[in-house]
Amino acid sequence: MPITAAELVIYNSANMPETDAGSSGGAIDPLRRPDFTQIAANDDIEMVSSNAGDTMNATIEGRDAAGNLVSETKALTGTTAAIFATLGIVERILDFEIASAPAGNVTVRRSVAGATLRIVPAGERGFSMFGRKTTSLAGSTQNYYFKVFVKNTNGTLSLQSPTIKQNADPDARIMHLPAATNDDTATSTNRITAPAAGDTLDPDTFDDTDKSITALGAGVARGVWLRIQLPSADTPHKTTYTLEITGQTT
Amino acid sequence: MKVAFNVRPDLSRWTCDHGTFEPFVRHEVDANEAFVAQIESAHNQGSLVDVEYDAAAKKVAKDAIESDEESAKKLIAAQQDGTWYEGNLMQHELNVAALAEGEAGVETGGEE
Repeated sequence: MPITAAELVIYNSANMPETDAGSSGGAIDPLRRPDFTQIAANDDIEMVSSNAGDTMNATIEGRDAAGNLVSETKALTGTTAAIFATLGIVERILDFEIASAPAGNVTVRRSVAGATLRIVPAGERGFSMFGRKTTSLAGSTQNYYFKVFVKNTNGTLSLQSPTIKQNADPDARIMHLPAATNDDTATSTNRITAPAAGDTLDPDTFDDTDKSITALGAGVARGVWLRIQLPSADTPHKTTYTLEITGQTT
Repeated sequence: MKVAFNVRPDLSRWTCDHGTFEPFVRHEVDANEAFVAQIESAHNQGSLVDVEYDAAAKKVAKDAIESDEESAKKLIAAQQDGTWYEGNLMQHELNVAALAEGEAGVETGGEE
């Protein structure tokens, strides 16, 4: 069986800061992911597991219709949907964290039984939006740096001649630069400080061009730094970014 | 069990099965085990800060959050029994479907 697209999975790094304090990046976090489908319209949110035994707590954070940050902690109720009823109607979701790894696949969706935001696969702990709570400056450009990982989760095959690509960046604010090596653990000082040149792929340039990297063996991941560049007095963005990896498989 | 906590200041509120709590107030509550577990869940996620437990609550809180190391073991087990692959594939299919319309994964604020 060749490597399938579904086996090339994007994960968070250990540090995905939502403030300018604390390091950014680090090792792969194989329990949390940065990708999900944002709600298309303001709505309530609910969660449901595929395993009746999943009753652990989960905490969700988002913004209400007025832009306020709101958060609720609620216990899963197995295969019966649990509605985040006191969270209220939200305009977007920023973060979802389960207190322990579920035995089933946990679906987070609009309530009641609406469109799915994300399925948290069994054994994982949640998802979050990278680049949340960033702010442009009045008189200068502001850069933010976050690190994600692309992992080859195939159990035996190596992805040969891989290339990291920007597939889509509708608002033209994000550029990418792979880490220097596979399975690295480098951090930047904080999310507004660029990673060291020694920790990124030569020639250490953030841009939108394709980046060839070394083969990703079975279970191997490559960090990719993402730079969000906000021009002076930028308008708010609620946008998307699509990262892509291509390669050869036997 | 006695617990004291603050809601993270940038939140307008944190809610759970036991009430609604606002920032800029030091909340001191008598909590049962379920409440302590929800407080620690929110603390672990980051919605609550400066959480203080009495001895009994501290023990409950300690058991309320699974370490990443323990979760990683469960992840491997879920991959071995196929459950993870099932969920991962379902999510992949959603991703493919969402690509045509765009997938919101970034939020940036306005002028500081």
